[in-house]
Amino acid sequence: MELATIITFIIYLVGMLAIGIAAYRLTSNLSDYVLGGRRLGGSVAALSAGASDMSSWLLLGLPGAMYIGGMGEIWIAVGLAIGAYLNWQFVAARLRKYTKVANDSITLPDFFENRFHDKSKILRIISALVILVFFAFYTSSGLVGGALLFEASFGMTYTQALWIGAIVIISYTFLGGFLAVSWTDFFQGILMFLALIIVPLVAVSEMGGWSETVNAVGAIDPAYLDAFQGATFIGVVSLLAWGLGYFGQPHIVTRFMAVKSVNEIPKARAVGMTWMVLALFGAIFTGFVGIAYFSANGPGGQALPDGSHETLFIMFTQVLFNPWVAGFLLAAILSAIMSTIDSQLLVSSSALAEDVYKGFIRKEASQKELVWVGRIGVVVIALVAIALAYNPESTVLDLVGYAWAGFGAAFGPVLILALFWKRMTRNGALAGMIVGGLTVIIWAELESWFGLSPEQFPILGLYEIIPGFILAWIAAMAFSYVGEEPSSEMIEEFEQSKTSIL
Amino acid sequence: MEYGLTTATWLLLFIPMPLLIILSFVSLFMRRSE
Repeated sequence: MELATIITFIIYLVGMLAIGIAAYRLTSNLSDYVLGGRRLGGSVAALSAGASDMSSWLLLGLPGAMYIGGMGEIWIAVGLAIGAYLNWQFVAARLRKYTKVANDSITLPDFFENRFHDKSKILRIISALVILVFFAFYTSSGLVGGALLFEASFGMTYTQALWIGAIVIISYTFLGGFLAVSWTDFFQGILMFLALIIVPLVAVSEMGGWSETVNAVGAIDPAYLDAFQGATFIGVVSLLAWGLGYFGQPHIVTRFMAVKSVNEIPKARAVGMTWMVLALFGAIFTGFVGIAYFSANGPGGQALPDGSHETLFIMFTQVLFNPWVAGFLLAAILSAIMSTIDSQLLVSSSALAEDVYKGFIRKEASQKELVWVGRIGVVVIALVAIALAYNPESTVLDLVGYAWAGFGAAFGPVLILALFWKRMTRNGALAGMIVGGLTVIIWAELESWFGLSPEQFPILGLYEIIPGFILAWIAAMAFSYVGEEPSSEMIEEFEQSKTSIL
Repeated sequence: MEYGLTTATWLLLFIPMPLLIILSFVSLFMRRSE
């Protein structure tokens, strides 16, 4: 590792910690800590939502998948972009307004409880549990990404790399909470964007241009050039269905709640979608040019070893750039990882502080006490994620896929119906969450628990979010119809959320 | 032999995703003009 690369990298890390310390001074209560006191501008909210969303998956997972499967993998990017757009278009403003109307809710479990006037706290417990379980997997996927980065770039062992990455991330989330996370996400979002534009452009130019790249890829296997080659209905639907996950991701929808005004949302949507689509193109083309570059006849001289396809972006930074730029690009990868993990740790810690500690253990806890419980929660949850990430066989894409489906199915249908369906009740929400979460867990284990394999029954090859989402939707509607109708106060708040301007 | 991306692949790459950017800006400008 060149000294220049290390210096650039350290400058980046010190800058992130400085933001954490500055935000620490502006954080005085739990609302500040988990939601930044609802004062995010449109651009910060947009890049923050994008950077929290697009984790190491964007810089490591997607280019790696493209490297293995060629253009057949672009369906997932299309599905995600459509899902993100629909989320901004339909959920963002309504959620911002409704969380304010529903007793100024600051977390998703808080919103569900206030939306359905649930005095039993059962909605809060179940949703906090869903958050804690699936974020443990999600956060560990980021830690695996961090470990891959430090291992491949700095020659550390996997375990050393895991701990160093975790310590850096925890320290600034611990200090600054939401403001630190959103501000750093903003800078990290810009850094990721630049890296995803620069790397494929330089790599294509090293190959001699676009036509030469396409020819080289086609000479390896023409199937890489066709998004439809070998595509099956179940495969394509499964990849597109990733977009459904957006409606239930707590770390993303939290950004909608934190926007300072609904008037900021159209700007945030335009900035966010531009960022996302261009970043996805960057990741797609990085993977695509990688097929030609890292092949027996390409400038890389040989293909990447089996199982290390997710290090493609890291390998490009090492072979294509001078050490100063390489340091900056490695910082961008760490940005992608950090900006997602920090948001997830924060949502998990708010589930512990607001939903479990204040809800059950000490109802009269002071704001200062809650902020500290949240901070300790960050450390505890990070330790659980580190334990899960200890298995170096885990791939970023698999871990993300599982957690993404869990949230999408458990929270997605419930959140959409809660925002747009007046007749929705607490029992419906509860049924939707439980059915969605359990379907994802069981569907993923059908083969190991029941011996049912996709080879025998092709339909079982569907991504688990699809059955989870559909069954949760049906359960939420059925259980809402079966029980009592919503109270007049609930209906009144529902109507208010449609008309209020905040 | 010359290779190229198939037409369907080009369409899938350059229609749905850029269209989302356009729609976002259209709704932004419509909101501003209101």
